[in-house]
Amino acid sequence: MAVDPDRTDRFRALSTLLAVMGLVGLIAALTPVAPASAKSANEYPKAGVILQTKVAAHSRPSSSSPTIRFIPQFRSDFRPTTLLVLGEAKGAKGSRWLKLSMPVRPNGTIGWVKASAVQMRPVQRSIVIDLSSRKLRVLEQGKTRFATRVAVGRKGVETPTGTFYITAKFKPTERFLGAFAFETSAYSKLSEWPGGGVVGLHGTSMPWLLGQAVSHGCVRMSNAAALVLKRLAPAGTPIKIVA
Amino acid sequence: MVQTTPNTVVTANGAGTKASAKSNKQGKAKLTIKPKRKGIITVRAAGNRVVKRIGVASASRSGANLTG
Repeated sequence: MAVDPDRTDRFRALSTLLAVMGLVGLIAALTPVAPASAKSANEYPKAGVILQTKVAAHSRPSSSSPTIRFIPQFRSDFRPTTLLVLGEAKGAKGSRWLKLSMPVRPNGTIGWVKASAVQMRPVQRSIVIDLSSRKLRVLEQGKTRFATRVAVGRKGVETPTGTFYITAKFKPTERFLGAFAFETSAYSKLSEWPGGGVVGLHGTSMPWLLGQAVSHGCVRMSNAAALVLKRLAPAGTPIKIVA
Repeated sequence: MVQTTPNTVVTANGAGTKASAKSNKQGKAKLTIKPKRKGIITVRAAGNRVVKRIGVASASRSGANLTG
């Protein structure tokens, strides 16, 4: 019986390919996988909402530690209170506690709440604001999805640096705040401001001032940029403000 | 849509709404609500137990608390 040499070569090549694939599969199966705890640590930050009428935020992951404040399920404008969960820890008796970025003065306050009181969801994007270059960037999986020029706080009332998050978004009734506005968990140096002096990200009625340090701490952007950000950044989106 | 005990009355009150519906054999109740004002809608199921709270906020509001 005659044997086609081309066919034999093809069979050998296929056999070799299958053997290599099998070897790769075996190596992958034998390679130790990363522990589950390492994976869960990488999942934070997450956005969260409160499942109870109110929840106590403690200074440490323990019910016996001092209460920083009670966080209500809804804000005074009836929007749900959004939280930024930075991590988690095991408390006494093995209970799970969540580490929160608190929307209170002073900036950077950390609070701990029981995990059973919070429903979490992953955050898709984050915002980075560079005060020196006066640029706002929206990052998604490490890549810049959107960038725009902004105006920041002037000397004496500089925009605070640190890690914050969007607490609410709304269409402002004041023309000065432009087409759309975001409330953040950051507080301005102006503590006597009515309503607490919250740092906002918002549009503007004075676009010629963009790229300058002229605000009272808020981050102003063009109205077109504010409307793009409305689509990209839900409540709970982390904001990193760097000098 | 509210998941509760089968064949029980589910009510929703608040923010200018008042609605009720009976849950089906799977324990699901469907209530259609149209809030008339801002506020919190409380959904109660079997045993007057609160199963959900829904905040009703207006899309626009004053931004007076922002420093600008």
